[in-house]
Amino acid sequence: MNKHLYDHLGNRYKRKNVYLLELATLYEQKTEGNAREIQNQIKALKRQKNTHHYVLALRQFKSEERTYRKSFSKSAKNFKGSKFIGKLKLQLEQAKLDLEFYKKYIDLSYDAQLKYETAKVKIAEIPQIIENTEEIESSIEKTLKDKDTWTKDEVEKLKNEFSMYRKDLKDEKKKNIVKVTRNYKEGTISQKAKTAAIDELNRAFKEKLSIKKMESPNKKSNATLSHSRFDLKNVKKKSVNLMSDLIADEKAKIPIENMTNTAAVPFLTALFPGLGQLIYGQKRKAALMTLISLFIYVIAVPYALGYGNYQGNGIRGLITLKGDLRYVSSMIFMIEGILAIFLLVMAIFMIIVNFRNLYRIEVKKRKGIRPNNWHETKSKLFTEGYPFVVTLPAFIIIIFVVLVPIATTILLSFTDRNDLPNKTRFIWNGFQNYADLFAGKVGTAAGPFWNIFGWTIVWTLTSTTLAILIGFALALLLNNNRIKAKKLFRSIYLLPWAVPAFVSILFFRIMFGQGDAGVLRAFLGVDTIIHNANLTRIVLILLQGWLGSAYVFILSTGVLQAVPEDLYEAAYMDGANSWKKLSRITLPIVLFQTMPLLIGQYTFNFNNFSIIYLFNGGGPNLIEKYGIFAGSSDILLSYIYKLTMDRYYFAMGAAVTLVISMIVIFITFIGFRNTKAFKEERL
Amino acid sequence: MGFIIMARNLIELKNLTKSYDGIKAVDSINMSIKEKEFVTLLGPSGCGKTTTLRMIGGFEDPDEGQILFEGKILNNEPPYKRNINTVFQRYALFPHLNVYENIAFGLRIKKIPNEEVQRKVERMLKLVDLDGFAKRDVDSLSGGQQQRVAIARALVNEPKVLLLDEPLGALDLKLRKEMQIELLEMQRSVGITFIYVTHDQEEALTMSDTIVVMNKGVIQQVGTPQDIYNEPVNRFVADFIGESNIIEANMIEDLHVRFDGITFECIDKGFGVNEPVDVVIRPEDLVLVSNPAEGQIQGTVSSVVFKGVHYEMLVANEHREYLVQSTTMFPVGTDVGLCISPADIQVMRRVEVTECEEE
Repeated sequence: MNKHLYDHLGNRYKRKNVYLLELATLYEQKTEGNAREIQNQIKALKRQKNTHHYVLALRQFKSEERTYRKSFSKSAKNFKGSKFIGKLKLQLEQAKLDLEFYKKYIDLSYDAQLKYETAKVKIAEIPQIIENTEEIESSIEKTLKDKDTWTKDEVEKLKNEFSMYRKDLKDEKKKNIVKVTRNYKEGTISQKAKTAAIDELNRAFKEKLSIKKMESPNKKSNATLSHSRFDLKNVKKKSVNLMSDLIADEKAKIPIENMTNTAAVPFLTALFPGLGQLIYGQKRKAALMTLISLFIYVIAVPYALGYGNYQGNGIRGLITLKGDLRYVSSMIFMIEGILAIFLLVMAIFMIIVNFRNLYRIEVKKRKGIRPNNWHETKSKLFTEGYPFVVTLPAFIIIIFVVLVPIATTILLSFTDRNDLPNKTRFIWNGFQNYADLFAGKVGTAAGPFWNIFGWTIVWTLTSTTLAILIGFALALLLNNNRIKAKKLFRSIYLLPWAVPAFVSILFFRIMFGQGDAGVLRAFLGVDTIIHNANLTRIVLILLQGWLGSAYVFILSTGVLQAVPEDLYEAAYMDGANSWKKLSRITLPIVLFQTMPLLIGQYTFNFNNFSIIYLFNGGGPNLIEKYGIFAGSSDILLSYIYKLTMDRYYFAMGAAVTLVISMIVIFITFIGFRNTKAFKEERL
Repeated sequence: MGFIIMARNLIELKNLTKSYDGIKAVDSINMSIKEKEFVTLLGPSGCGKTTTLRMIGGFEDPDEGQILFEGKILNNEPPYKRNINTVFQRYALFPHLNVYENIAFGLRIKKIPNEEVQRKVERMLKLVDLDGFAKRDVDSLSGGQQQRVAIARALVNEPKVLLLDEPLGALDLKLRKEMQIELLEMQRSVGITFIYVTHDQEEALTMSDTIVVMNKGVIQQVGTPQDIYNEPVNRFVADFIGESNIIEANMIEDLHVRFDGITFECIDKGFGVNEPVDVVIRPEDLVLVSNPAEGQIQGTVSSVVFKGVHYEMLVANEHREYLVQSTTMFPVGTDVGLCISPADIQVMRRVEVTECEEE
C-alpha cells in the first residue's frame, strides 16, 4: 500500500481517499519495533471503515450520483437534427449537467474529477462538431431540396435540351465524316488517316456529350451529393476520434483509487474471458472477449468431449480408435481426436492470454493506472495488435493444413492394422513399428527396410555425384575458348533437362524391356537387364547421372562464366598450372556458389520416386530377400508408396515416412548450415 | 679504365612491338628501367601502356623486340619464372579464400613449409597495415583494404619488380591520395622497382621517379616529373600533363620566337630559321597586370572561375584566349596586360599528333 498514486508515465499524485491515505500512512510507519502496535491501529481503522468520515462522504456522493443519473435519464428528450446530432446534443446537455454536479466532488474523488474533466472536454469539443456537421448536412439538404423543386416540365425541358444538343452534335459529326470520306476518295488522305480521323470524330462526340451531361444540374447535384456525403462521414469519424483522444489524455492524468480489493479477479475469472473485463468496467471489451468464451464452451470443449463430431468421438475417439458404428474408419477417429486437441490447445492458449491481460490490468490498477477505455482498446488493437490480427487467419489455416496432417502421420506411425480383415481399422501399437523397422523383422512389412535403406543411400550418393561430375565436366569443357560450335553442344547437353524426364525414362524402360519390345535385346541379343537387380541398379544410376547432369551443367556454366579472367592470371603468375587453377580456384568458387543447390540435388534424388517407379516399378522382385512388399530397386519413397497404396499398411508407411523426414531434415540442416553461402545469409 | 657509378639497368625494352588485329598497340618501344626506380607509364586509355605492362609481366607475347631482365632475354619465360609480380586493376582477389590464404596463395603453390608461410604472410600483413585482418573474408573488406591485400599478395613472392595496373582507379579521390603516399612509402621500404600504369597525370607527377608518356603505342617523352611538366617536348605531352596554353608560333632565330604578331625573347635555340614550332606557356607563368600598356600582350578578361587557391581566367585577344591562373581577380570585361618571362616560354618542335580516343 502506497501513500501515493502513479500514472503510466510514473508521475506521482496525492491520494484523495483519506481513509486509504490513513491506512497507507500507518503501513509506512510500520517498523520492526512497533509492528504490533501499528498492526493494531490498522485493524482498528479497518474495523471503523463503515463509520469513517471519508467513507461516509464517499457513500453520500455515490448515492447522490445515483439520484442524479436517474433524474437525468428522465430528462433526456428528443433533439432536433439528424440522429448523430441529436446524440451529440444530448451528450452536450449531459456534459453541462455533469460539470455542475461533479464540480462539487472534485476534491473528494478522482472518479468525480475524471467525470468533470471529461465533461469539460465534451463541452469544448461538441459544439464545434455539431457546427461542422450541420454545415455539411444543411448543404446536402439544400441540394436535395433544389432537386425536388424541379417540376415535371422543367425536367422535361432539360431532357429536350439535351437531346437537341445531342442531335446537333450528331449532325455535325456526320457532316465531318462525309467530308473526311470525300477527302479519302479524292485521294488527298490515306485510308489510315481516314480511319484515324473518324475515330477522332467519334471520340470527340462522346466526350462533348459526357461533358454536357455533367453540366446538367441534375447530374451536377448528384455529384455534389455523393461528395458531401463522403465528407460528412469523414468529418464525423475524425472529430469524434479527436474528442475521444482528448478524453483519453485526460484519463491518463487522473489516477484510480481502489476501495474494493480486486486482486483475485484475474484468477477467479480466467476461465471465462469477458467476465473480468466486465468487472473492471470495460464493457465493450468484455463483449468482445465473450466471443472467446463462446468459442471455448460452445465449440472447443463440446468437440473435445465428442459432441458435434463428424463420425469420431472427440478425444475419447483418439484413445479407442473405434466407435459403435462398425464401418467407420479408425482414421476418422484419429483425425477428429487431433482436431479436438488442437481446439483445446487453442482454448487454453486463449485463456492464458486472457489471464495475462487481466493480471496486467490489475497490477496497473493497484499502482493507480486506470484500465483502458473502449477508445484506447480499439486503437491499440488496430496499431499494436495489427500484425496479430492480420496473421491470425493464415495461422489458423496453417494449423489445419499443415499441423493436423503432420500430427496425424506421427500418431499413425504408432498404430497397427494388426492384420485384421478390415483394412481401415487399427489399434495403438506403441513403438512396435519402429522396433520392427530397425530390427528389419523378416516376413513383415518392415522386412526389407534395411536393404532398401542401404540401396537408397547408395543410390542417392552415386547418382547425384555422377550427375554433378558429368555436368561440371561438360561445363568446364564448354567454357574453354578453343571449343567450336559451343551453342550446338550446349543445346545437346541441355536436352535431358528440356525433354520431360517422364518421356526419357519411359523410353529407356522400353529399350531395356523384355520380349519383343526390348529394343536392346532385339539389336544386341543381350539378355534383359530388368530382371537382374544389380544391372537394373547400375542402369538407374547411369540414367539419373545423365538426366541430372543438365541442371548441374547450367548451374556451373553460369558460375564459370562469371569468374573473372584476371583471377586465373593472378594464379598463373604465382606459378599455378592448369590442374592447380582448376582445383584451387575454379572448383572452390563453383562449389562455394552452388553448394546449397547441389545439396538440394541430393535430397531430390533421395526422394526421386518417378525414375524408380517408372523405370522398373522398383523391380525385379526378389521375394526370398525382399518379401512381397518391395522390389530390389525400390528406394524408401517408392517403398512407402507400395506399403500404403498397394498393401494398405498405413501405419508402417507413416513410420518409414517419419524416419525419412528425420534423415532429410537432419542432413539438409547440417549441409545448409555448413555452406558459406548460408552463413553469409545469401539465401 | 674508369667506372661510372650508377644504378644498373634492371629491365630493358628493345624495339618492343605488339599488334592486335593488325593495329599496333605498342610500336617498337625502347626503354630502360633502373633498380629501385618508380616508373610510371602515363597516357590516355588505349595508348598501349597496359599492353606494355602485360608484356613485361608475361601475359602477352611481343610480336617483335626483346625484353631484357638483368641482361637476360625474358621473352619466352612464363610469368611465374620472371622475378616480377603484378597487382591487377580490379585486385583479382580469390573470393573463396580469406585474407591470409589470398596472400599465401603463391607460397602454397610453391609448397613452402607452413611456418615459413606464416612468417612471410604476417610480415606482409604488417607491411600493408592489415594486422588482425588475416581471418577476414575478402568480400568484407573496403576497396582500400582489398587493394592492400592485392599488394601484399604480390609482394610476398619477393619480386624484384612490381607491376601495378591502375591500382587506384576504383578508389574515391580522398582514399586515392592516401594510397598514393602509402604506395610510395611501401616502395621505399621494400626497395624494389615499381612499374606503374595510370592515365591520371596528377598521380604520375606525385609518385614517379620517371614518367614515360605514351600515345598510340609510341613513347612521347621520358623524364622526371619536373622535366615533363616544365619542358614538354611536344604538343601532346604539354596538353596531357597539366593545363597549358599551346600556341602555334614561328622560330625567327635562336632565342627569338614570334606569335600573336609579337616577337618574344626565349631561351631555346637550335631550331631552323623561321621554323614553325609549338610554344607552351603554363597558366601560372602568365602574369596579369591591370594596366594593359605594361603587358606584352593586351586582352580582355572573358571568364573567371574560382578554384580555391587561385582564380582561373580566360584573357582574350584577337588571336586566341589565354588561360591564366592568378590570386588576384579581374572582373569579366576588364582590359588587362599579360607578361611572360623568357624562361617560361617553352618552344617545341611541331609534330603531327592525333590523340587517342578517350574511353
